[in-house]
Amino acid sequence: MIETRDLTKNYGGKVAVSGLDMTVAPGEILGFLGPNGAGKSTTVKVLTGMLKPSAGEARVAGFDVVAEPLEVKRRFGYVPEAGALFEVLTGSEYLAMVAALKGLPEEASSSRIDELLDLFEIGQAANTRLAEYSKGMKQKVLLSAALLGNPEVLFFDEPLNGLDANAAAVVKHLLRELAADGRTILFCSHVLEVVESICDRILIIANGCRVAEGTPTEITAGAGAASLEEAFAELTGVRATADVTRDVLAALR
Amino acid sequence: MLELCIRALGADYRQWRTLAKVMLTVNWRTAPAMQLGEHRQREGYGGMFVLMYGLFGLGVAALAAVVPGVFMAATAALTLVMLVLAAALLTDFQTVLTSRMDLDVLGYQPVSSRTVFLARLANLLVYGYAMGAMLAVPAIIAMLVRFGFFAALGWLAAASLAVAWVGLLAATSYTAIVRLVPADRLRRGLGYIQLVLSTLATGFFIVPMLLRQFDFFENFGTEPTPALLLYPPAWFAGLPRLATGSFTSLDLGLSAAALGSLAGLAVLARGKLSLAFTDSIRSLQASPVARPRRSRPIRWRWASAELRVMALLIRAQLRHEMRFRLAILGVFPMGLVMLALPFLYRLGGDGEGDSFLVLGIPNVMTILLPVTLLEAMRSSESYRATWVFFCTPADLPKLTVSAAKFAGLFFLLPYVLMVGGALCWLLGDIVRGIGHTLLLGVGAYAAMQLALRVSPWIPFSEPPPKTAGGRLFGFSILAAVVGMGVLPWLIAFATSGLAPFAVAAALFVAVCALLQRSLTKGIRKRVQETEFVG
Repeated sequence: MIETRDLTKNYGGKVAVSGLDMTVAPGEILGFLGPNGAGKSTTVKVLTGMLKPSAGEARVAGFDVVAEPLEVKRRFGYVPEAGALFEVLTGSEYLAMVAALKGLPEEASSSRIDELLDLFEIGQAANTRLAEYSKGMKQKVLLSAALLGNPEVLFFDEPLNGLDANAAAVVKHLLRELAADGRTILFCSHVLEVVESICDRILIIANGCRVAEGTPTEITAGAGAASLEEAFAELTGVRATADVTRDVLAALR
Repeated sequence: MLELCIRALGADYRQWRTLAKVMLTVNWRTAPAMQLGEHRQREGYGGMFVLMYGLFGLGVAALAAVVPGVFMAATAALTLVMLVLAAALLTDFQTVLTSRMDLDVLGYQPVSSRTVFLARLANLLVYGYAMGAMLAVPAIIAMLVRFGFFAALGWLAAASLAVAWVGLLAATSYTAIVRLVPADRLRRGLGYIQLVLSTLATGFFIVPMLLRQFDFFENFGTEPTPALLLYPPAWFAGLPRLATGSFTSLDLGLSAAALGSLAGLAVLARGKLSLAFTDSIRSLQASPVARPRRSRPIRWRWASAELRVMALLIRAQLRHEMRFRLAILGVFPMGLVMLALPFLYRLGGDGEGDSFLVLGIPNVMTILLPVTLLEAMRSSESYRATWVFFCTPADLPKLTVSAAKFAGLFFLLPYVLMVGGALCWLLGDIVRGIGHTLLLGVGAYAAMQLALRVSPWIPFSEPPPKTAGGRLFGFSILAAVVGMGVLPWLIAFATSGLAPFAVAAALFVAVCALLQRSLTKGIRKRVQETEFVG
């Protein structure tokens, strides 16, 4: 379960997230959408304990992220958008480090690491430094790290970045299975087709505030649009695609 | 005029001007001279650049002021100018010489190889002369005062030509080495050159002492000898004597060697700074050269998960992050230089055994060393990767304390043992040496805990700093006061007998243990309030 009540985060005088209410139930995948700078990553960073909220309340897996951060962190896995890794470590060293940080028993985690690396088809590169990995391989390491502790809540921020079509298909299928198994999943992406295909509900934010929430069909119908893409543009205040395209072409002439 | 010259040399002037401007900007912003890392900031950087090379310039002026005779003074001063300049070009400003980025950015643009060559040459000369000016200009005053106006004028000409010579030599030799040595190994090698250079800068004040100690100047004459035809700085040092009008045929020969070699290098460099050459370098280095390196897992049953994580990370950082490795390794030569000082006094017969130099300087260094190590662990090029510390249930204060424990065990302890050996020899009393070392080691560990308590951090979570840091400067002052003022007196009292020693040792260990016990608790609130930077 993920819950926020009136969640607010300010950076100095700038409001990044303003009074956000959100609920994601166990077994549900919530698509968390918004244009660049809308406050999605900030919200996820608050929920994962990387940033402290300025006001409001946030609970993950039943625990308050401010009052009981360690209890929260024991219960979620996270694939961040930027995907920063200690590139001086090898793949297996990195995962061993994450396992130790999560407090997983060494013996059990060691076999789980090998298994995950093999399943994501990077087992052969387990002893190669992450600096030498391709973008897709690094993403697989991040996915493995997120799944390591078999968490009940998962935060995925653009998890398909850099993955090839086959690996992306596996991850999408995996997400649905994890949700079916009762995990709570918050899924951030700019690829609306993917969000539409795997998420049960969608929450759209702009300028730190919620602008729409519902199933993809409800949001599209509510905005009076023909597709989710059009509804998103309408709701987030972006100019019509055709108008922007026409102006860009005019500027080139 | 410039436009006509560039056109006459077969380049497109507009492209040349644009490229030269871009290269100058890029090199300035990416030079690792003062601080490494992508968060290097522009503000304050120019000041550090001027300060560092200005200090070397004062060193050059000092040599010009003390070495006897215009020729030998110029030779000595030019040796330092050329060495520092070459090292700077090879380490801090290597992208001035050649950049593999050229081809990525310019490879598909309609720009000729010759235009790129001329832009790079302009770039090289601007940086060479900027550094050269800071290195050589202060020595003009020394030349003017000691040997007159014409000698100063000759020095200016000599230094100008020497700077161009070094620039062209660095360009040709670097591009030649790059063809033979894999890029990562070369980068590592250049990093060590930088380390040696910074050690030399740190220990520079010891040089005059050494020269005086071993009567260096008395073994040399003031006139050039034919053997100096093999010594490039001496070629250029003939010019001040030519300018004064009092010269020999050997001075003429030396000056001819300078001009001849400069022309030869210009011809050689022409083919090395072009886009085509960059292309050939890149194709040579495109093949994978990195050896897969297996590292042994850290299975310390006795250690906590946090300590194992820190050991794994520090080991990997030390192996692969040059900035971190140099920061750690850089501490030890500085310590050795400081330790050498009392030795030199003793060798020279100036030492009084227990003088403040014999005991004070090793004290200061031993206190300062672990704090410097902790500062190195504070930041990293990979600081963004520490999101993982914030998003796992890891105990953040314990991670911090574990980093300090690792530093104490694997860096401070060996250093203290080395200092202990040196102290036993210096004091000529093994028991007293061991007693002193024991108290010093515990004191240094306590200092580390104290520093951590004053300014706690999460390991590697901060971007590399842009300056050496006010914290360290403040702590250095404190270390100097305690190490030279308080500790020698305290330790002298403690080692005066068995009873005082027992009391002092018990007190030191108790303080250390108390600090250790309360450290995690003491820093918990502040560490937990830290937000992720990235």
